[in-house]
Amino acid sequence: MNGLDLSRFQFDYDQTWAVLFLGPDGTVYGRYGTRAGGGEQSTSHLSLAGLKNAMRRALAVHASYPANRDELRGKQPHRLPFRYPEDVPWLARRTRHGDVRQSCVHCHMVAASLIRYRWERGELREQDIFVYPLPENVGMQMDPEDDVRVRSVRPGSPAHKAGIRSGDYLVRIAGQPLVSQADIQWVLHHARDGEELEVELYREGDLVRTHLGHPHGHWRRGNIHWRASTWHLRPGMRVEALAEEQRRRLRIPPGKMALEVRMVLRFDDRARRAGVRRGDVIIRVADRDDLLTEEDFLAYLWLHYGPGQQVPLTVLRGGRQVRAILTMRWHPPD
Amino acid sequence: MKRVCIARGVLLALIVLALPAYAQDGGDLRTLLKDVELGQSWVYDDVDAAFARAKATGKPVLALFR
Repeated sequence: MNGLDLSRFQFDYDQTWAVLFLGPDGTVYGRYGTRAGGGEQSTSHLSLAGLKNAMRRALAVHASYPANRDELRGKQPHRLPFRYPEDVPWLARRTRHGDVRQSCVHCHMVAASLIRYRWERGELREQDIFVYPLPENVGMQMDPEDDVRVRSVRPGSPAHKAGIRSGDYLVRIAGQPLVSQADIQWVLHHARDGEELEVELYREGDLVRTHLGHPHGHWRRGNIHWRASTWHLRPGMRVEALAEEQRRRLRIPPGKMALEVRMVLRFDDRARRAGVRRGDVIIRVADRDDLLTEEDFLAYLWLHYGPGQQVPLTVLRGGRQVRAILTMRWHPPD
Repeated sequence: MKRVCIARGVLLALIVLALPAYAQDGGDLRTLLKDVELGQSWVYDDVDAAFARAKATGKPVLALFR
């Protein structure tokens, strides 16, 4: 990403393979490239047929340009706090590194820098951590062979309530023509909480209009383990929800926090300095005992505590409750 | 790759990498990436050249980040 103009090229920077379709004047027509997790999920939303269909749609958008300029407005890049990676002090230092490999700014580093920049200014929001929500987050599983075709709808979800059905072809959301499900993610990423999104779709040849709402609560949340930009948020440890059998053995009631420390990192001393050990079970963070997943835990830490602030943790160790104090800071510092 | 190549003829293709320094340091990026099967229609690591060609030909750009 060295030297790349971020005011032109905006997409999900954690992707390992991403496409932008642009007009000759730089207008964004659409995006392609969706990842849902690690392992098999790293490519579960990609296919050659899906890419080919996205390319065809991008060409259709191009054929209608510039008459369709207004409906493309929402697909254009948003304002970011920096224009080039080199505008970020810690990335600029990296680009000056003498070693070629060490001097490269990778896409996910830009994503991590956005999180760090906003956190250090007290401006971090949930949508900065849980970026580019999948269509699944609003109840739609899309067909990877043809990204705008709805494969299934989760009962009770916002998509279900909007009347969207399996087999529907989504044409526009929030007025934006869709090239792929990455475009759906773009819309969801920039949607305001509570905003109703107008959806246009084709069903058996008929154009249908409906409105898609959001579920209440933390609808953006999902699997972020694979996102390299969020690895910095793990405070020197990896935690995992305790298995049900162990919960029973430790007499932890349902709905109460029990995150097992599976790993205390050597290269990142934040957890070690707090006195956290491998095998500890975190049962409380400050006054919260309802953080059931690593995502909940990380989101609570980073959305509620700023640089240098101390977070009291209560852990179970050898049948006893032990207090640990975690000091919030970014790692690596620079 | 066969099916992708069908459509590539009408989209101008640009590959932008997270590793541009390799091009400066090691010469030809396409060779370094061992992209020997890709045709000459791809522009490597040169955004300005890609858009100049797009303007000249009237074709849209497919920018690939990998």
